[in-house]
Amino acid sequence: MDRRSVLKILVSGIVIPVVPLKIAYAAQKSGRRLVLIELSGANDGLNTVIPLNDHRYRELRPNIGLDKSETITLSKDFGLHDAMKSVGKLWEAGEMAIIHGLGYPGANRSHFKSIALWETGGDGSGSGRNGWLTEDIESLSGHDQLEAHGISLDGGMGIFSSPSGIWLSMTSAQQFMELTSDEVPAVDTKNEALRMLLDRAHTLNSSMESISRKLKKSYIRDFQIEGGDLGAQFTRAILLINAGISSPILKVKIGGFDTHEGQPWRHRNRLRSLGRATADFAKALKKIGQWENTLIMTYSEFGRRAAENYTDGTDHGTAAPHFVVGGSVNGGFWGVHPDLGKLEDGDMRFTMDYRAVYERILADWFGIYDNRFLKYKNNDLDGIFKA
Amino acid sequence: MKTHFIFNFTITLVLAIPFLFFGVASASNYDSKVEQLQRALILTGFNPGKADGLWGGKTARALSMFHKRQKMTLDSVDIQRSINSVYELWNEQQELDESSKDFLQKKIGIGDARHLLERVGIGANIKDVNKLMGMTRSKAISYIINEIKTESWLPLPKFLDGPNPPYWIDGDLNSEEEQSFRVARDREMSEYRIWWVKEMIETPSPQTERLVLFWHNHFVSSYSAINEQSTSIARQNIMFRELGSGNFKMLTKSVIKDPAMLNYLDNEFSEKGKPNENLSRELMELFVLGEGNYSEKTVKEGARALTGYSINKIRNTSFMFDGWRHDNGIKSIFGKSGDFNGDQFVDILFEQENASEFLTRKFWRYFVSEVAENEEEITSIAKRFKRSDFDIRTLLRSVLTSKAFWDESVRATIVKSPVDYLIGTIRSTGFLPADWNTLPNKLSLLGQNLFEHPNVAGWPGGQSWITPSGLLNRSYLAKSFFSSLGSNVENMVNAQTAPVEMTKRSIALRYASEDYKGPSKFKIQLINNIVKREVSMPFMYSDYEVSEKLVGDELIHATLTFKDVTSKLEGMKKVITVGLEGHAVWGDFYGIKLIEDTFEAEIPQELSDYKDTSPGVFFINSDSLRDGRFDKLYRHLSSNDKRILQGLCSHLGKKEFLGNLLVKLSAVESRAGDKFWADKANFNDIQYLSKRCLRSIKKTGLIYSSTHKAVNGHDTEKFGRIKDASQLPWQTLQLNIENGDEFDTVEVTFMNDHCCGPGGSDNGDRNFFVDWIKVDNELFLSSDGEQHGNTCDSDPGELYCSGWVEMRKSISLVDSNSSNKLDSDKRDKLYVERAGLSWMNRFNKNRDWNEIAINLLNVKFNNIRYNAIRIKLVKRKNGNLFLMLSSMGCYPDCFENRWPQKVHKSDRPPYNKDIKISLIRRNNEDHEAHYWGLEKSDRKFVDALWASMPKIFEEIKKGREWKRAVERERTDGWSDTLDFILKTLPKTRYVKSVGSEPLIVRPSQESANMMSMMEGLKTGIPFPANTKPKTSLFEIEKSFRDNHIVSLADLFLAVDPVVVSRTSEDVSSIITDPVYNLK
Repeated sequence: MDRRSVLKILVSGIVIPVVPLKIAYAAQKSGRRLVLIELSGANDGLNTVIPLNDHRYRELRPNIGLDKSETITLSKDFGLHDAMKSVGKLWEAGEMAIIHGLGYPGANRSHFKSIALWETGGDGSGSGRNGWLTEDIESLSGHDQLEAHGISLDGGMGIFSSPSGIWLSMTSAQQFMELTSDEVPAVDTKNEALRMLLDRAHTLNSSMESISRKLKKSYIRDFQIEGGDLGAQFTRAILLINAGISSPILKVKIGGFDTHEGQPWRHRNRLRSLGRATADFAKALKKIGQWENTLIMTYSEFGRRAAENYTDGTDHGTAAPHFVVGGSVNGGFWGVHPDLGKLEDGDMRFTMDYRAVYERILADWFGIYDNRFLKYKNNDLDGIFKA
Repeated sequence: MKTHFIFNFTITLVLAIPFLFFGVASASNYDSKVEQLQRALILTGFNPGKADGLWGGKTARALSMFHKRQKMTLDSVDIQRSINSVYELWNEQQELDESSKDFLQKKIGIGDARHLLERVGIGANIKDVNKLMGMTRSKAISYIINEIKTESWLPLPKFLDGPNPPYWIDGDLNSEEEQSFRVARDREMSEYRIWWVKEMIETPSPQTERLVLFWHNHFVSSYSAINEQSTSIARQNIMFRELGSGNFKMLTKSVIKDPAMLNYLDNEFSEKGKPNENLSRELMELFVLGEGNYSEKTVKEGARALTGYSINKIRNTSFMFDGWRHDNGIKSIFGKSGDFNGDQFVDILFEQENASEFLTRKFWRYFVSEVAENEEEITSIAKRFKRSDFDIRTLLRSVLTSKAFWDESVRATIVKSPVDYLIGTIRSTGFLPADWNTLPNKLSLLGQNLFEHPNVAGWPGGQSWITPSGLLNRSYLAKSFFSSLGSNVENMVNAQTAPVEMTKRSIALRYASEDYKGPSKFKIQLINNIVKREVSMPFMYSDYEVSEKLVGDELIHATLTFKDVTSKLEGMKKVITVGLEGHAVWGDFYGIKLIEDTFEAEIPQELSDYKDTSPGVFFINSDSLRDGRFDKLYRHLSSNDKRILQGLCSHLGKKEFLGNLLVKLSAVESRAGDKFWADKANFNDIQYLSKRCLRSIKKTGLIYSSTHKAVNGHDTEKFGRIKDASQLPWQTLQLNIENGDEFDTVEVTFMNDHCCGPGGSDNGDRNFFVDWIKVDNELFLSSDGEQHGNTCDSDPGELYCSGWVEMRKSISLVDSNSSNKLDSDKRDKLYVERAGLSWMNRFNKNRDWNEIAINLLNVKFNNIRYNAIRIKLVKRKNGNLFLMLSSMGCYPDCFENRWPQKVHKSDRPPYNKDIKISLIRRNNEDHEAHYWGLEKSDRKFVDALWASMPKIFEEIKKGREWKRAVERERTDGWSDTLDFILKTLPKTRYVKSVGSEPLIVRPSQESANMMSMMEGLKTGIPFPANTKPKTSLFEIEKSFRDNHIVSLADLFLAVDPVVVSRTSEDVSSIITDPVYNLK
């Protein structure tokens, strides 16, 4: 099945001029993009960014806690799991920010529910209806053309839930390239539903057609980023970016963070893939001159409990740090690490609402100052992006 | 079915009075059916008094008036039937009212029939179209509404028969147990999905399912988000069928007590001081009032009203109003203040202006148009809806009788949902695709994964169905819809009546395939592993000698004797002798000669080469290997002898050994012998025979093997990967085989993996999934199996890489069949399936009350049975140590509700009763009264509980909850108390009554569940709209001709097609027109 036949089915025999897709795009900050990395399974923040000198850390984690020697030192107080040493250069270059203690009120410990909250901007009192950035990104206005509002490279579309907009899923670049397009005709009808159907088919088709055309033109067969499945997704992301495909949001995912048992080796393994793939992705972005335009951010369901469990793992918890990386990021630590002496029923209290980060990204990165998360604006994040 | 006798209402009324208080936990004889009847009577102009759900004089009188009016008999009343007949009268009354509206008096033509059916049902089946044609629109609407049912057409899946799975146990399971628990739930979910799809295909009342689908997307709860509580979500779906055509307010009140919803919206643990706002907010925003029609303050107040609306997992995961966690304080909600509970909160919401309009508008979009809203009509329908006190049939009738509904301009203004698109096509054409059982997966591909909404707001519908992948997939599925023509379905239809062939063994395999450029290939093997394993044992000896050499005229012979043969197996024969024989003249090697001294046992005569002349001699040669005699011999041998044979064959075949041996043999006197043993050809022969012998031995362990191609796989190239195993298109392969030999292991091998080439899974994946395999009455679960080969670090049944899953552990499907077997259980023994810690507090001697709560699953003691029971072990500051049993902690009811007179009763809902039984009797008089107040059999049960304590503690220490408690240092302080119990117990009346070890842990009675799962296999294919499936385009088109359908476009398209010709007579192309996406 190729797209040509879809087009035939939907619209053949009808004549309208071929109009390239025009979704108006913003542009005070033209060409900027956000790459979201979902750490699926709930990353253990406390063993990712380690409070080196906190004796309570050792007490909470007598077996799975990391020694100083197993970390790379970020500052006097904090070390990074050494499985992520490949991103060390980004840290040194001041292009990697770590935001401490992100969470939300009314913590939910269900993977499914909590990731839905992060993806729709909700909290314990309810989830959002649409993806956290869909409305604001769709409302962007400007001159440039967009092929898509967002592209999911892992197939997960929860973060892109939206009744409108062009939110695509692309789990294979080759599949996309095999799509070919016909001229798209249309029909003159008063029936709004039919018109919508045909218009939308037309829009999606031309968007996909444009992507596949650009991809085909610039496809690099041998290019590959290491780091397993995440690397493969980043590879696709680079192919898209390099082909000049405009989509302000790209989403990737790396799984396996639900480390209830055997955490030491499992977590190491996951972080190594994350680190390597991210470092290579950054390198590739630099090479094609897109590093300054790109912002990479991690997110995850929740953090894990402060204390380890009896199976050398950790159970579902609350707050966790996240990474914000890019050529325009002011690296270093942001926010405050949760106090391990003031646990709440064994959990770290979040020190910053994660939506403050969303607010900052929409406002300072995309220039959407009047965004959905305005009320979570947090001045502690002032200056996280280079002016 | 509840039956009320109409003339004994006075008695019922007397009984009802004491329960007429205002509370959440409705009075015990509140009956929602009675309330529905009362409401229907009110609507129809009879006066049953207040619609309170209590059967009383007024209700009975009103019903009897109704019966008189309808000239019906008055003996006994089936409430549901009464409701239906009252609504029939109501519909007649409505028709009268509508007689003045010309547009409703118009006779239904084919276009109208299709319109009405597609909107209010699923697709438009020709049979239904014919039924409606010629009726007035008004009459047709009555016809539709009268046929709304409150029960499903198909019997419910068997897994819903018994109690719910013990969801309370999952925290105590270790990770392997947890895995199989989850897999079992996934299996139930996928069974329920297929069941619902089947129901939608087959039901003669698609309007019922249309409403269920509406509520499914209005009161959203999703399976993954409620910890995979399959039965809770299934029961919610059943509830929508029961109440979804009744009263909206009643339905809403039922929803706030629905276990799936309470879990989904996090109200389960909402309590005074810490209310969770989720349910309160969605109740207003999404269920009743709509966004913007309430304040954040009201959300908070409403949340307080809903505190304590909880779930009792022990009691079959059912709703429980917990008065202790409910906030009794004054709340102010929409200008009213009072100590409202959740039900009263709902009442207040329904008093609000927006309540009627909100749902009316949603109905409008669902039934009339997604693009055009007629405000005037919506307002007037909303008013009528409110006047009916939120009667759903009134709302439905009002919407269907609106002018707009019949206006040509609303045709093709609703985007078909995936259910409309796929199941509608099946119903409309009568054609059942051979892969119909993958429909849940197909619906998911189109974006409507049943029971997995994208979020609490449900599927937005309309243009959101038209996504890039949605478009591609719709088009693909439309084009390939008729491609599975004919024989498959025909066979399925025939198979339902075909007699079962008699064969030795039947195999069923449940599998799923993710295809990539073709289907998966897999192999099923039955193996006798004991036999197979022996092959790998080493063969060791201290020395060997050539004990006899003979060169005759014709015969060349050598006997080899191995000394001190050892092996890991005890009792191995120490000296083993074997012969090698050939023909002196021709120089041919005869074979390896097994003789009397080779084995411990004798070689059976019937297998011997020289039956008559020299019995007990067997030649391993091409003949015996070929004609099956070797296999027979091998199977006949004891384990030791098998090992000997295997050792000999493997040793003789070794190049080095054989080389040396032949040199030794050829360095002898006779020229003939010399030449013979030095002959390279004979060396090759011996080696060849030993290899063949070994291969034959290996094969002997293999009882059965067959290779298959997966069917109905999910094409990852077209549709991408599936992330959740429960959503795979599961298939069941059934075969019969002739071989009846014994086996102990089943292996399913995935043979043609495709993945992980350059670029990773980017270029497509072919994966294979095994759920279980059944061989006769033995069921092997892959979750209990082991994965071998290239395992890709995945769970046993998930073959992401080439490899095989080996299954040895099986569940017998026979035993559980005879529950009589339990009668042989010993008297006064306490049988449980599992004992697990529920919780315990850290022991604090200054605290007045320290407790450990323990859950027991499937408890049986003499004639007493509980599905689940929670006992508490309590230590008071005054030294009292007792067991506590409470009405909240038994399912079914503790002591069948025979409580001692002096039972302790709580004064708050759920008005818990409990008894306390002291370890030492002098401790407390009340406790003694509890004990002696029990009936004798129950007292003995309590004895057994106490006497089992030491063993119970042994058991709970195996579970995860205990380990967690250890980790949190909760167990330490208890050791003195537990020691005391151990020491004291032997002297107590409890042990004297039932002995010291009454507890028997009898693990999982899974087989019963599995049996019911197997039942699901037997159900056949669905008949679209209850007619025999058409199996070819020819048949479909013939059915249209027979029914005098002139234009297919009229039957299938809401407006003129934009691509295909309006006069097309080709169904397969009509359904590919873009207009077919609309209704």
